Amino acid sequence: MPHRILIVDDEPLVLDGWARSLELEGFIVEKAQSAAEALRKCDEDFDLVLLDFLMPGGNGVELLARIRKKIPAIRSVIVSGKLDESAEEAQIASDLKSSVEADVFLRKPVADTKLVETINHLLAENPGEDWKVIGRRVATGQRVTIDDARTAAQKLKGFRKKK
Amino acid sequence: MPTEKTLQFEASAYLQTLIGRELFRTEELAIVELVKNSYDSGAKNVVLLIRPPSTREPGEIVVTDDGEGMAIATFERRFMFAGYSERPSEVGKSERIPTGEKGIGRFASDRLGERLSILTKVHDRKNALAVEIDWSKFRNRRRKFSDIQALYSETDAPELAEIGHGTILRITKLRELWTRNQLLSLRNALSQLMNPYHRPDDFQITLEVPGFDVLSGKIEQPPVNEDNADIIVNFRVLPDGNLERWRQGKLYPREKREKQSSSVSLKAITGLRGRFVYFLERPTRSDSRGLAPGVRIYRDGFRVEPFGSQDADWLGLAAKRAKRAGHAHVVPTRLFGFVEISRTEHPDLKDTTSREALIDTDAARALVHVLGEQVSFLEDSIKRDIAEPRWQESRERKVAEFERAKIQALSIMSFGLAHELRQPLQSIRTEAAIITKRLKQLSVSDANITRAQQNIDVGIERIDGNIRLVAAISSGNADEVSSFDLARKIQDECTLLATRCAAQGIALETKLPDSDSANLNSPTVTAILLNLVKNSMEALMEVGDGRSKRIQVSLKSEAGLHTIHVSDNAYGIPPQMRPKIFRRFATMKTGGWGVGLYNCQLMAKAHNGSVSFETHDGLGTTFTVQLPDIKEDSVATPNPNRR
Repeated sequence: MPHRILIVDDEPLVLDGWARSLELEGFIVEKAQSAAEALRKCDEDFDLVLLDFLMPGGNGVELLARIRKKIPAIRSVIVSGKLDESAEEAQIASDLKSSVEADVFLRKPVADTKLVETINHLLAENPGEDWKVIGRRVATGQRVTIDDARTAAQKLKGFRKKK
Repeated sequence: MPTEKTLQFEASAYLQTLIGRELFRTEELAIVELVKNSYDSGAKNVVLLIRPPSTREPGEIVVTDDGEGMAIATFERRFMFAGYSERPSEVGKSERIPTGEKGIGRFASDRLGERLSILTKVHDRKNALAVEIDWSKFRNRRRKFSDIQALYSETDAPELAEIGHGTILRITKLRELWTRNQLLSLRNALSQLMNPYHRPDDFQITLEVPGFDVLSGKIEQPPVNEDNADIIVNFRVLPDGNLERWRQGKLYPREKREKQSSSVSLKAITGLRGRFVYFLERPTRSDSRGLAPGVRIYRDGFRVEPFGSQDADWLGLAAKRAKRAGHAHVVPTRLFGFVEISRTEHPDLKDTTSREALIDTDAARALVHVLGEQVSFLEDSIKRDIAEPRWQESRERKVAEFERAKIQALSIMSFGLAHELRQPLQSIRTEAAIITKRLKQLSVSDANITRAQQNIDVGIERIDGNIRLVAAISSGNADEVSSFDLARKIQDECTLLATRCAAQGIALETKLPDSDSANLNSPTVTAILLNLVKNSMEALMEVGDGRSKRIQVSLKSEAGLHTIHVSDNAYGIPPQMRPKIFRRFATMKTGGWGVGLYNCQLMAKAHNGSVSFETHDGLGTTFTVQLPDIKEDSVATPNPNRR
């Protein structure tokens, strides 16, 4: 079954381009031009959300936090068109502490090949090694082995320490 | 021949009341008058005892001095003869120049109390003279002045036995209550009575108020603290009628005496000396030493009322300030003037009998004129050395601020622009990829298509790189110092400029260290470098002899000083332009504004740095920018006189 991807960007040109490009790659794509629209669409399940960092009325990380409340194990790619890279990262870091982290950050204008590669990689990651996948399994009532859970917990610990 | 008879003037006794009670405006002036009488009698010490009247005591004022005293003959001549005073030339053994010139000082006691007992003794007499005067007897307008009598007797006066000579005035039936405020005001008047610079060193006033220790004691008044004064104008009228003048104080540590000619004749006030002590900020009490501001006149060491008192704006300083608000530079409350005149040298500088002004003579007019000139001189000094440099400096600071703000505006714009440009760039990039992908799906294989997409990608990367460069070089707050890599910043800037140079056939080279951490105001660096490179480009555009046009930008840093050289191989700056290259509106170009280099220098100055140049005819010019690292968190602006 093909993966479902939600794209959120307030710029219709970019939104439309990405949607058609990813459809050509075989994904099922839904588009949202605003945070409200994105949250509405999240009543359905998605495997991955691709969102712009700069959104009218809030940034992408905030939106991601609210999407994660609806779909806890969704994978995410944030793309930013902002210039001040250090400031952006600092902001994301501070946002991360209070809410969630995105899986990957990319910068606009991102090459199509790079984007597709990143998405494929995220969706194909070894499920047993990823705590988010484990969380998802728990949430959907699937079996989780103790070993998988332990590996995931250690990874999570390491991730926290790094910060 | 008709026989001549004489008529005789007679004075009513009431005349005394006019003189004694109405002429002395205040009780303080009356006491000052009695103190001056003591001084004139050759006293070294005068003790003023004041017992304010109360429910238990009637109160009294006792003035005791150790002067020469008076024998009966002298007393009759000096004391009982109204309007008589000794001329300076008549003064015998006392070296003092008498302060009293009207011969009415004795009547001042009437201002203080109704009764006066005098006890006076001369050195070589055994007994003292005791005189009782009841001033109320003079109230009768019908009686003649000369009909009023005073009782006198001889007594052994134990009070005067110790010194052997002197006078004691005991005033009773006081007219004033002598409240604490009145006493304070009196003490103040007494302490300001004598010139603090040249007070007679053989004359001491002591005030005694039983029960008021704070008010009691020797009267002393040091001069203002000249060490902290900003401007001191000294002046002296020379015998040749010219004025000698020199400044001192923090602003003019060593200035030579200079002769000034005056527009009016100063002969009548030859020997007049004075000094104006001025503080740029309101002096503290320890600097003013408790002296009230104002320009005072001292005659032979004694204050001439009312000059320099707070309500006497006799030089029109307050009025001028009120009229010209921000443009009158002399603030009256910061000026302390001390003018010395002498009764012997300046006989024409006489007080009116009411002690309210000088009698209008040529000398008095010359005095006011000279002092007015000194005030103007002081004002010019402040204007030239404080106000205008401050104004100039603030203007220069504003220009530098404006330049930095321009760069910051560019930075803000480039950030917004970056976001705006990146959306269509993203779209183009994605669409190009879609075309390729779709063609692949349709099994259309063409090397050209692949190449086209690659080139689109390269083009987009380049546009994006330029956006990033513009943002990077224009980043930084206009008013803040930040630490950044100066070498990288210059490299970024030159990379951007190189494209523009190349379009004009100019090669822009850099010679930079790998990195150079700097603590500077980033917009300052950008603005200066942009201006200098632009300058070189314009100089090179006029070169038409086929030489290969070059601009070289290099950087060297040593001990927190960053030195940037911008060199070109154009024709050089023509000799006639060299001296004014940093001036405003100096330009060799048609259509140039002539503010580029001027602004560069202002910005460098605002950064405690400098811009200089070296030029060789026909060979080129090198501009050198030096910027020191700044430690604090703001752009340092050299401003030593900040208010």
